[in-house]
Amino acid sequence: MNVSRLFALFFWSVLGALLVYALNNSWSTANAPIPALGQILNPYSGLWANAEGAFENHDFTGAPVQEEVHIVYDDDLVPHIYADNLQDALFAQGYVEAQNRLFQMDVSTRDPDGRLSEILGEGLLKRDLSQRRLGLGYAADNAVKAWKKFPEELKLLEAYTAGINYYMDRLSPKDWPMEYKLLGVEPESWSIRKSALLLKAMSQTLCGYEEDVENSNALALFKDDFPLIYPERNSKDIPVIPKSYILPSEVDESNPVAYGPMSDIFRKRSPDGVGSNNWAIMPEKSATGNAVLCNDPHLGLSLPSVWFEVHIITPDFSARGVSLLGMPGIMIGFNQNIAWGETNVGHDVMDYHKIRWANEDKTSYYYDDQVLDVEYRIERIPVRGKEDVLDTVKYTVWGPLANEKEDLALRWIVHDQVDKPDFLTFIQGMTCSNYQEYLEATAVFYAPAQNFIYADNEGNIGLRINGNLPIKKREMGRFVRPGDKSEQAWQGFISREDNPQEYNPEQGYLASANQWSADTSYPYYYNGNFEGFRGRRINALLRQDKKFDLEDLQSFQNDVYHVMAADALPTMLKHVQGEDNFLLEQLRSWDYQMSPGSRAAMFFDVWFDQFHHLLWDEVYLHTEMELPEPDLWHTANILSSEADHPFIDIKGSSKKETLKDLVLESMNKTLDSLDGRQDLQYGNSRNVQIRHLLRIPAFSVDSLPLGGHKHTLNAQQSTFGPSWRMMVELSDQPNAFGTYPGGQSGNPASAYYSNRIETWASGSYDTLSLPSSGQEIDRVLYQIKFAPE
Amino acid sequence: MKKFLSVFIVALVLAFVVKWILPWWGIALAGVLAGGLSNKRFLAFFAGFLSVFLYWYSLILWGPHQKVAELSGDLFTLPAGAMPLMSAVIGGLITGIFALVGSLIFHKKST
Repeated sequence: MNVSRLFALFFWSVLGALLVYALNNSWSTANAPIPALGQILNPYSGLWANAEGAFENHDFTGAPVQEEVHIVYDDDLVPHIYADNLQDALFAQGYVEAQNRLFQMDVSTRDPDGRLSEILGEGLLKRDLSQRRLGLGYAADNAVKAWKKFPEELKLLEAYTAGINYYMDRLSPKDWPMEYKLLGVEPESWSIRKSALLLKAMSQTLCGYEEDVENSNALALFKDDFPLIYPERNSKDIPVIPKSYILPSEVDESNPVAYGPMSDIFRKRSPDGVGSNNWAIMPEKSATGNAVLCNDPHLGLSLPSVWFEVHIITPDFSARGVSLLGMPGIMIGFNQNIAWGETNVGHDVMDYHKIRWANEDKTSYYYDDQVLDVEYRIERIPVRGKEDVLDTVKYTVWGPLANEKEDLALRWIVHDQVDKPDFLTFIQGMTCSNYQEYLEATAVFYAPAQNFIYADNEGNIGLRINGNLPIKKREMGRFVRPGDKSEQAWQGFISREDNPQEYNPEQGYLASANQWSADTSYPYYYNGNFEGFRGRRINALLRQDKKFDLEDLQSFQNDVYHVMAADALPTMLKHVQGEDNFLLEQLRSWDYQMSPGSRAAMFFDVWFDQFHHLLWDEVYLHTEMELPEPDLWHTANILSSEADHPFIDIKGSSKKETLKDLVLESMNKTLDSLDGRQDLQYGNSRNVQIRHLLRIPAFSVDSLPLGGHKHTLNAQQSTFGPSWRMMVELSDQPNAFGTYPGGQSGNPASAYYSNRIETWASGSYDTLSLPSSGQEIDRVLYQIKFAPE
Repeated sequence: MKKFLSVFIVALVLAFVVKWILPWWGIALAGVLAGGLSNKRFLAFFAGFLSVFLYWYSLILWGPHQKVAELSGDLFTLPAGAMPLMSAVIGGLITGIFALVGSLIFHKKST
């Protein structure tokens, strides 16, 4: 045998094998992981297989449906589902959602479950640990337990789950969404628990707000001055429900206990920028004489979009709107008779209690006159490429010990075992034809509490807060409370009848924009996270003595008038009357519009921020602990009222500053900080982006020059904004419009991935019709049929 | 030339067949068998390389792949046009190397 041939054979075989091995596996480097190049670049099953070719019709015989189901995709890739009954319709909804958004559904349920590091690696371990400390997986387990008590209703959720899995079972690896291929992981089948996780994730976003620790710190630090910095309510705000209550007050007084300061910074605040608007006008306010309903939920903008548009038709109803991927039904939408939508209710339903331990090991604690043992929940977190990480979370009567260092247990509404099948809300909601039915459908909703707004084609409008609102003693939940007394617990829940609500009000409209639910005559105490400026603006607009047409309402959804600037700027300008510079030149003629081309809009933003920080220097100098931010409306009110507030004086300076001094100094600081940026326009001064869920730049849309502000109706911020805009005029046939910043497909290679962004960014809408059969759809992309055996 | 063509064609046909049975790296097997037809080592390499290089390249170019080329180009900060080439080079290289291995297995002597 020839030695050199043997050597060559060995050499080339090993080289070839190594090459195949290297290309068939992903590699982690210091900078970024390198995906398995052979897997993602081969033309058979790589990314190339995700190319969008011609659409083909599919027929499935032997599908688990009772009758034939027919899905027709229109030329916006919106599926129209024609089914004989609700269960079959939801099976099809599950199927089309998985078909278009599989990866998104997977990743958005992994986050609350604390399972991101399983697919994304160690970098996400901290997030996973913190999610498990908050007990979101535990909450989902509780939801599933509760749902199983309603086997009949659960069949609907099971049909939806079966639809998702029917799609997944027919996938081969080449069909997997690109993200799976890039990460080198496999999709995982759906379960009812995943729908529960999704609902918990939604709750975390919408009612995961609390500032108990921050407030306790501030109370310990500022003592009697606390109310001077942190007043609860802006008297200028207009509550959601425009009426006074005469119910007897049931609020017990209870004085806050000052804990702290607590220096441990243990969790991130809930994202600032989540919010929504909705309003409905009655026939007397409407140019056409029909009731109109509008809704635009503001959420983190992402690709794929948080929403998926769907039209569901059975012999009983024909409903269209958006669904939250992973939950069956339609969350915001309309049918032939009614329209509905939601905005978030900011009531604080997340409270911390300080545990008093009964032993040194911290395994038992005092509760009234008893000593109770903690229970344990072992959390096993799989970490990609590493060993599993184990964490033990202690559970108390309140809930999980979310902060072990400060001994804080968490009482959070999301952990409750619900007593109603709350997942039914958005399924039943789409089948209703009058307000009574709608009230019944939404009565089962538990959390996160929402302002559910309603309008119908008989000219009725209504709004009720649906969700369980705890009964609290005064100031309960505003601060960290003792954990050793049962009297510190919520005193049950407000009855649904007593939740703030209104039907066909005298003023001819209803509007909510995350502001306070009711005025101070409301007999129950509540605190929380509320935003008043948008509420003031929409009320001012709708109170005008005129009838509104759809163009007016469209302009309201796109409105960028900054109420806070109108409150604050006149005083600021008054105090710098003698001055002259490019900043003042722009601001003196400004109309308070946060429009993309405005320079003044950017200048005001910076100036006000500088003033705010100078005014509250006493707060911002404390970097050693978490403190709540003083509210911007409070700053604006101090300016506009020109009141003599003790905190105007700058701490540590020899001089006694006046409001004028602060305005002048903040202006000079603004001029310094704007040096070189004086020609920059508002829309270009911030980077509005719609990022892919995994922050992959190639799959994201960057640098949209848009106007708006978190306190304007068009609440556009850099990564948050109107995630769906909808207007429905309820005539005989609903006249409906809507769009969202994204597209129906979750596949970045699809023409329908981001195709609606342009319409959305320009403030326009797509027309939303209710074709009663597939033949009525002008341009059909393709069709799917499910038939039973 | 005749040998070159026969390795080229056999590699092509086998690559087309094994994709139904084996994962993407099945082209290695196609390479070994096709390369076995040639006692010229580098002829086997080049014929194997060119065969799957062209096969994969045309598969990609003839499909609706422009958007994927742009996206994957963005992913690797490369021009879109480079991506089909990169794919084809991967396919070609593996087939070529294993064609050379095939030649070494089936032929004692290189002539």
